[in-house]
Amino acid sequence: MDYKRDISGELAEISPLVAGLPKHTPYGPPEAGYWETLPGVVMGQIHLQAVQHRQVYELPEDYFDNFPSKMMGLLQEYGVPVAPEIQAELEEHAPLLASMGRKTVFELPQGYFEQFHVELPVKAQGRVVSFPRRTQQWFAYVAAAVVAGIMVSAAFIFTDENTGLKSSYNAVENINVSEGISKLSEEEIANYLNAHPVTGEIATSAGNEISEPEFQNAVENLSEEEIQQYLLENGEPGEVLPRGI
Amino acid sequence: MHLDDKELLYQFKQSATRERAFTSIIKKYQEKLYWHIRRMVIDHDDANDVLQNVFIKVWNALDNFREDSQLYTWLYRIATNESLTFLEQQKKRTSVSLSNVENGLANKVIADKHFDAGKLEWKLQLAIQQLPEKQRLVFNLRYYDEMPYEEMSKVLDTSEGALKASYHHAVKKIEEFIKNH
Repeated sequence: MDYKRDISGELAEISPLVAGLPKHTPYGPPEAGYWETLPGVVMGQIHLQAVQHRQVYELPEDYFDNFPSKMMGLLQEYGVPVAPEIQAELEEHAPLLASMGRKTVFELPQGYFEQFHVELPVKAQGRVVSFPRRTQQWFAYVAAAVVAGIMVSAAFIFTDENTGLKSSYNAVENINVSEGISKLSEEEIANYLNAHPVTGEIATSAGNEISEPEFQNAVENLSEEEIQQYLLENGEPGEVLPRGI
Repeated sequence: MHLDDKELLYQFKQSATRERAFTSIIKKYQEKLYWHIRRMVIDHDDANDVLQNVFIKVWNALDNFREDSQLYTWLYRIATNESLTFLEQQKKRTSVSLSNVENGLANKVIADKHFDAGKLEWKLQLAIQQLPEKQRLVFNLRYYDEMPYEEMSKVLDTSEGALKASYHHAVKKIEEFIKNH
């Protein structure tokens, strides 16, 4: 037993005095038969522990199945228990009311809460036309350009100097856009829009949108004569129509 | 002749041989554990209570024993913890201060019916009871149980270096006590 020799050597190295002391534990041994009976005593304790932990009470089979409805029934019959301070307050202010109890008089259909559910209203689904983000941005740019064009045109029209586009900041700033637009003819507005065609879907009114394919289709169905006629009526002075439209 | 620990653990896990295996475990380790506990709590009745608690705990926990240490190391660990818990509860019950715990245990040594102040082995017991709790444990495990530091480290959950230092201090204090008394 090398390690035991090591232990003795270690002790002798630290304290030869302690190493030389008698080693046995002087306490008296347990009473006779202690070692023989101890295993039985311990197993007895273990069996007792097992019995104590076993559930001795029986429970009806469907006890928890109907528990909620039983509780609701009891509450309806006897009333909801009241907090002591609330009851005390009621007794102070209205003893008659306090003595009446809180029995619910209204009846509830059987199984009401079990079958209870909420039907959410269905939203009216209109035809949804979605504008791609880029098209939405385009419309914003076009709208801004139209307004700016109208303002510039109005400035051109209403300034005293008839020298073309006047880039005076003050003149533009003082323009009344609404008034200016009301004085523009339809022809002038259409001319401007023709010069800057809008792509994508065009919303004319709610639920009456014209999709781009429909617009294209309508344009394609126009005869050459009809197109030429339109351009003659609405074109710029001196503008030469290209052939083959 | 005691069965191998591995065999005992295997039989414990079979329902047919469970109780028989456990009884064998008790018989194999009862004396070692008893004296380890007795050296801590001094009184036989206290040691008996603690020892029974230890084996009940072992019964409840043995299914989960991972066998990553020796069985006896694991049993010693439980016995040590139960002894310390008992001493802690005794402190609270009698409302003794920490310094008086050692005096209380020394008084129990003196109260033993076999006590003989003239004999060196009883002086050694008195000296041991003067030690702080941890040093007392380390000294007992090394001196009486001849436990290697590696095993002791698992029992006490302390590094080997700290245990060696603790043992050294304990032996020196005992030497001082013996010289002065």
